[in-house]
Amino acid sequence: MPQVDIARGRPDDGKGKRPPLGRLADLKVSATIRTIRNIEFGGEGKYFGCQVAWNMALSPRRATGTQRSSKNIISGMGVPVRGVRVSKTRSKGRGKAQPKSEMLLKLELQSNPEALCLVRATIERAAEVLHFQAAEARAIVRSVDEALANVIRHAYGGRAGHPIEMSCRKLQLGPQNAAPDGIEILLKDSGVPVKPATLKGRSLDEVRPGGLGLHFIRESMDEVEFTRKKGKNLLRMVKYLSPTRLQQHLKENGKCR
Amino acid sequence: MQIEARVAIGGTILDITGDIDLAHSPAMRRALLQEIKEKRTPKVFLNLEKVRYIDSSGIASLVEGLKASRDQGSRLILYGLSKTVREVMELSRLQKIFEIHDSEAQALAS
Repeated sequence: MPQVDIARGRPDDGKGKRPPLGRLADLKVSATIRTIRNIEFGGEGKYFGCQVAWNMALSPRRATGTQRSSKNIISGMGVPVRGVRVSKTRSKGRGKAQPKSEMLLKLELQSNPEALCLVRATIERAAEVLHFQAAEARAIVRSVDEALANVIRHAYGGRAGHPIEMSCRKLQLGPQNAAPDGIEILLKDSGVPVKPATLKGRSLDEVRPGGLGLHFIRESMDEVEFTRKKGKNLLRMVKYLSPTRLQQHLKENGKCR
Repeated sequence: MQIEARVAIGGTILDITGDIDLAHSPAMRRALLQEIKEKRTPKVFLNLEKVRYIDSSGIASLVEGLKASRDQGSRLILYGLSKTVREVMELSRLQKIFEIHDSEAQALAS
């Protein structure tokens, strides 16, 4: 299996020579990934397994849920999660429990369906690093894949070569420990405005092709928000660690909450 | 994703390998509809043992194949679903709509 230095975007043939970029050139990894290595190809470069070294020490992001405009919560269970209520009417400002977050990675990719398998592999690894169980990790992967597919198909009308930004953050609700409580994924595109009224999905009682992607995302994530801001579509998805999984993680690391 | 066709008793087996996602579901759709509509194969077996991932576009292609097979009076039979594929089927509430078997032997005997 040839290896790929994804930061340089080229497969390594083991002899120091680097073949042409091919389709991987459509995906540019920037900023906060320190290194990605050991990408293995199978078939014609259509299968990727990767090991990622994460940079976990970046600046905290702006408090979640503030300074947003035109927010439309298309799912968002609005349930209290360990003291933090995340809903359309949630409190803002100082003194309130707000999740801290750390940037895990940023990806800049183009609206090319061939890039989706690489994003899936990356997100799956990120979920594993954050101690999500296999089923939860699959749910996160499914949501990101479906959301990106929607951007490609609907926001960009199936046209390749348009920019999509994806950022992934580790959420921490606890004040004093480094245990991850969840993962937040933000997608940003410059496609046509998405009408919130169209983000309803469809009834599953009807057996027909199409219209399932949004349903998958809603079923898989704890929060899903769509926002239109500065001419861009923003989709924010959050998945929290299950309480049992969190306790298990804390116990393994000699911490308790 | 790769698709290979094999002759089976009463029909054709399509062996799918890889991920059925936005990039590759059109190819599976074409292969399915060709077997069902053009070749009028009475039984089309879809071997999903080597499918690691399927998205909503892949499910849509399967539903389209199922509708075409019903229109033709033929059968579309799935087998070898991985945990990931089963999860997506259940999320879509389609596991009871499709004819699904665990193994090739069971599918062929059905």
